[in-house]
Amino acid sequence: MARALPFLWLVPLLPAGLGASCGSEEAPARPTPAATVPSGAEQGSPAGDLRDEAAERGLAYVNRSGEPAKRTVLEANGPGVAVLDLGNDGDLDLVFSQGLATLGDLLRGPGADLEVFENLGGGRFERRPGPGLSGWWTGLATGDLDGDGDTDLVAGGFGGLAVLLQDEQGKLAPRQDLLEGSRDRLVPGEPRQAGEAPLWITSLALFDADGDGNLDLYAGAYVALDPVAPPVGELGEGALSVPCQWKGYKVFCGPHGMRPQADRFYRGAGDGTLFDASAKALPNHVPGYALAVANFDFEGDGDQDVYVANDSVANLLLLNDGRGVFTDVAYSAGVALSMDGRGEAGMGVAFGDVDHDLDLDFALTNFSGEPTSLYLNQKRGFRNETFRLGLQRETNALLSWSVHLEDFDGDGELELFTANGHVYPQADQPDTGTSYAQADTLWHLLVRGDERGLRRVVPTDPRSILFAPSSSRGSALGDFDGDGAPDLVVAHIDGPAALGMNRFPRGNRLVVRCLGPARTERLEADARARTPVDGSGAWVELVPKGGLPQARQVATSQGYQSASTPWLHFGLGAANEYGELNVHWPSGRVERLGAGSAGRRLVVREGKGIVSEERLP
Amino acid sequence: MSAAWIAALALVFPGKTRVEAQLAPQAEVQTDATATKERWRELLGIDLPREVLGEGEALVAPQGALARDGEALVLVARARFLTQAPAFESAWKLLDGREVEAATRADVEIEKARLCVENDDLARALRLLLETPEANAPRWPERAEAWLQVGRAWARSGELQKAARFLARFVELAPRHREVPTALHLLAQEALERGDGPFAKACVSRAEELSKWHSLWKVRTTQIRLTPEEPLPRIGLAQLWLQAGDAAKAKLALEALLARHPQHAQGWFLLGEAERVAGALDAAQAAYTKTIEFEPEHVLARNNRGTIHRLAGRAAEARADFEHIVDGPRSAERTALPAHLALARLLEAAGEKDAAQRRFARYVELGGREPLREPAR
Repeated sequence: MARALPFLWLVPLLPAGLGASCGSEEAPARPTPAATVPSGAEQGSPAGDLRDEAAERGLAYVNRSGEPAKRTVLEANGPGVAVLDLGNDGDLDLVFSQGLATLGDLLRGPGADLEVFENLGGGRFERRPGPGLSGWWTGLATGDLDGDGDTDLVAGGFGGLAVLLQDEQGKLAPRQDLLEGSRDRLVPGEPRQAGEAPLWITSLALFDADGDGNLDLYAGAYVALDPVAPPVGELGEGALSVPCQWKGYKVFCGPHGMRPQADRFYRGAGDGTLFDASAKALPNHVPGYALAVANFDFEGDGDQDVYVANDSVANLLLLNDGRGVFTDVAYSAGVALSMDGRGEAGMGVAFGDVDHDLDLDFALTNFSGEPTSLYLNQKRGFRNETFRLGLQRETNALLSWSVHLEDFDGDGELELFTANGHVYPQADQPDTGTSYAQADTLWHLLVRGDERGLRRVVPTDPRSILFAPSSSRGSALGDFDGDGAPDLVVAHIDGPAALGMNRFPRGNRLVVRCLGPARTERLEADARARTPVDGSGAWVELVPKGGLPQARQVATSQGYQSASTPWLHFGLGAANEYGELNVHWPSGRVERLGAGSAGRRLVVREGKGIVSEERLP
Repeated sequence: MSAAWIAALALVFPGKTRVEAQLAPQAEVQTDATATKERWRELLGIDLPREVLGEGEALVAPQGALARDGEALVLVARARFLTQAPAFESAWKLLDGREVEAATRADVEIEKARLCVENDDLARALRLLLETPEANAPRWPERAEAWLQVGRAWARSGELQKAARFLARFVELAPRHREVPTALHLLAQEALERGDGPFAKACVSRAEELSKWHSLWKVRTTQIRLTPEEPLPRIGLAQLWLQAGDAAKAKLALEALLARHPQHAQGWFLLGEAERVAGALDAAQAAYTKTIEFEPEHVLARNNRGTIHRLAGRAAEARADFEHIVDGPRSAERTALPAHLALARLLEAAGEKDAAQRRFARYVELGGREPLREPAR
């Protein structure tokens, strides 16, 4: 059942008013910021922070991603991280992708394995054996692929795409090599000829595209890079070669000027296996250099659409026809190119209902010199709010990767987080206007009617993940210590991961987990759309008493190469209770769960309402 | 509305413009300044702002030779914006409060507005550019850049309808400007809002064409800079200018090539093409002759020289060129086809009917479809 009318493309949007004024003609250079959000560090109220407690909590992941000089683009893109519950013990564990010290190591073998960290409870981690993969791993996606009630994993990499199912002991076991036997596969240690590029998967998204209750897979693919003879210094040969340079400095080549690879779509059989359905699902696909992939229901028609952030070229907004066949409508929706009509280096994407109108808006990260953009869903396309918010001014010098729209401080408004760090070590040379290491950033957002607010969280604690410059790539959300507040794990390239524990003042919260009917409860003859067992795609609306409504969707693939928790975190500020809680299931069923008190963690199963609840500490 | 617009878009590649032709003859230093600024524009165009800074900071400093040249200040400010942090403040500091020559004051003010746009200070940008918020034209209506920045500021404010008029005028005033694709993109978005899909499509198509052209220009210019002795990038650049209809710029590229490679036949041929496009048929003929000197079997050069001879009434010379082609080793090539027809028509006009028929039969045999007798105009 649709929540809203489907898009009517090419129908007029309503023009907005002129944005906030930024100072007078007489004023010197720096204009005043847009309308400010009340409360925060500048006003002297408790600031809040995301404090890095990785070391004392046993999170000892250290990334390897080639050599410091970054002679190839493969070495610059770094790792992702997945948050999932291994062993169904109720706390969230971590899996990191991993690369190697050199490109030569990949050719010689053995390759890297995924790295697994078990949450022992309360957010203390201990390393566990990996699943035994061998490769150079990049993107991760989570979901219940076989419908057995636990969370499985798909790992993408440079020449690798592996399905891993969780067994009864909570271990991830390789089930399917999706590239097996093809030239897309790179097997570390096996002889390889120059001139062949493996398939380079970056970000992944697991979701049910065709409404059969089984999770399908969208795999974003990047660029054709020959690992045996990668281009160095210039692209092409002879007099018409093109130097690989940035602001006059020699840098690694690509992706621009190299061949983009086509994304893949795999349909899930429901038993943990996937089969390639790219030709049917992506009939007019134009290969780009995909870096980020996220699924969400754009137009409120109940099926899952896909946004693909491409590097250097137009982004894709793939509209689902409900049967898992996708059509790109990004240009007419106003989200293919920058406001200036240029392809930007899309890096990461995150969704959230920023303006409380019960549809999903999204944030898109980009290269330095390009802003992190915020697009507001207008039901018939998107409106670019980047400039009225002042985001270009704030983010122009940053190269941002992973991104989240999350209510860290529990006040009912979403914050914008970006994980930052340049691709080029040469960024530290003189006169680049930017730097290689960059501090991660968090902003309070306010978008209500014509009111706009953007205020950067200024960290006061040197242990804040927002404090020191670093080189971040993937990141994922999850409540690791069970206090009800979302924490953030950030994977850095060539360095240790950070675990940003939520140290914002406690607002009242409601934490919700949505689950579809268990596999045993399904009727095989039931031809209606089904909700996946893990609740993927479920849409939850919460109406606070006296406050603005909030909406969340169960979709774990957000940010960059990473998978966040399926638990949904609602902030209620000072309110102790809410007025309504409604769940729209992918099957079409709507469950209205009525009013309730804040400070709880709820599990809702389709058709059965709230099946468990516990008080938050 | 749409038809008029599409017609306006067709102006994107009009005729020639040549900076040198507009130079005042009196001051050599002015020529130097013009050349310097042209070089800086090129450096910015190929993403080398550091080089502009290296040269420019001293020249635009208060005691520098270009201290009062607003155009020069703007270029160095742009280089600062691209290389310094904080970008806006660094660029603004250079422009704000500087006394510049009256003729370049508008450049500085428009650039300040551009900086405000880049800094999300949209209301201030509009105040700098417009007398009143309702104004239909910028303070400097003769400056294309002013129209562009008003359009960008309105568009970023969410006011695409207001932006459209300014962007359209920008495209009219500066149809080959490197930011025309930006204007066309915004016009396409505005058209989509109105539900005018065909117009949006036309804008997108033209924007893509122009973007591709500018990308190629950037690549060729970079290659020439890195390997100045290589002929191919210069040939490529000249072809780009010819494609854009700017024979003067094509000539400049070819003259630079031929100064280094005086026996480069293809360079001479393209120079002939540039002269021909510019209407200088004598110079074109001379360039084709040089081509043939270094590559006697160059079909196109010989054909074009023959055509010029024919147009000038020099039938014998024309016939000699066409006969050389059709009796030569490359006579069966597709590029030789026009020479077969031209020769047949020359013979027909001279009353040599049998010879004309024989030549025409060969023309048809090779795939020609035009009639022997030239259709009346």
